[in-house]
Amino acid sequence: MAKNTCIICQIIGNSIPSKKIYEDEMVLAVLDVNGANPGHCFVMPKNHYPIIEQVPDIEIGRLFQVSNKISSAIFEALGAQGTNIFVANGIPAGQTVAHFMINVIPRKENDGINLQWQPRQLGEEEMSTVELKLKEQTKNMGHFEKEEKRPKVQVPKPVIFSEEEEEYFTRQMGRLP
Amino acid sequence: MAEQNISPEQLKALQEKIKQMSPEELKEFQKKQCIFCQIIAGKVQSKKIYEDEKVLAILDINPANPGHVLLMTKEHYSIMPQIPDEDISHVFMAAKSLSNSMLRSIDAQGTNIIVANGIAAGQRAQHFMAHVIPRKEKDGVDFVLPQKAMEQQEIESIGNKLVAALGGAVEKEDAKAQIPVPKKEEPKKEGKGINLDDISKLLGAK
Repeated sequence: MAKNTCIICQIIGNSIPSKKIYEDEMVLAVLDVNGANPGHCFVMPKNHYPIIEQVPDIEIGRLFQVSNKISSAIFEALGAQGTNIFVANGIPAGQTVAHFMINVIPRKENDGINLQWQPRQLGEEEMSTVELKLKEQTKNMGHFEKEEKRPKVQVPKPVIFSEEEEEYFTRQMGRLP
Repeated sequence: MAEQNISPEQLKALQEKIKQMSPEELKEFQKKQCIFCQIIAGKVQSKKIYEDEKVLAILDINPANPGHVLLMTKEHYSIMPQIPDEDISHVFMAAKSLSNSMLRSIDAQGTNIIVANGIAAGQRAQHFMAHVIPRKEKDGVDFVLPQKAMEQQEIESIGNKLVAALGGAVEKEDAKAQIPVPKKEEPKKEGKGINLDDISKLLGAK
């Protein structure tokens, strides 16, 4: 999905109203008004990245720090018995919007949410195969970009003038000799 | 856990003891009981996928899907709100990297990253961890997130409570909010809102 049709980018750009919970130059957190529980928040990067792989490490760090602060606020201010941090990457994982986001969900017992799974029993061989394959990929892992590089945030700012402004300009133009 | 077969009297005595512990003592106590601390110390075997100075990632022995990884801090924390910001960044940079690895190595078509804080949220281990779960279409993993519509009044009141708890920084769209950074190594203030130690105690002393 292109950036200008992304509903999240439109929320970030204020062309779709939202209840903002937290905002800084990199991150916006809003209340999900159709949430799994009242207080369910979305935490998203202001830059448009469809999936987690594209989000720079430094922004990942900030996004999850903010999510953690919101999780604490949910405990403190809403008296939740628990919180979930939930991310879906890719349609098979349940991702529905092409803009990376973190769900922070207040929990109470028997609230109808299910983030559990049926535990599977794998054979020793299958476990070892998976282990080797994953390790092959993770052996070069660990070079995280932690320095504050201050990436440029590109908040889509509409340069469309309102009717009054346009009128003003026209009038100004009219005054020119 | 070790204390599963103890008598009600012993349990009561234990609960009393836990109540009187300082946060440091409690942490030490939990650490001793914690199977994941033993895995980190190498006393219990595991299939390690990634390790550095701050985190360890192992294969879940009862996975949702093959390749399901448990990513944990080496330091013992019961729940996420106890973890310092710097370590939070590190953990989730690692989670992102693990997610990428799954897409590349084991034909995952997607991934989920899940953290549960508190028993009500489905937390079972008494050691903070993030689950990174490889996903495929129709893999039988079915997470249910119902949609509950909120009234406008509720949106305002809940939203404002959260904004206030976060430092009340969001007023206007151009407000330059900052994450309230806790002063380094500030001694824990008791009695403010919910006590996170109580939540971790529940996990530790269940």
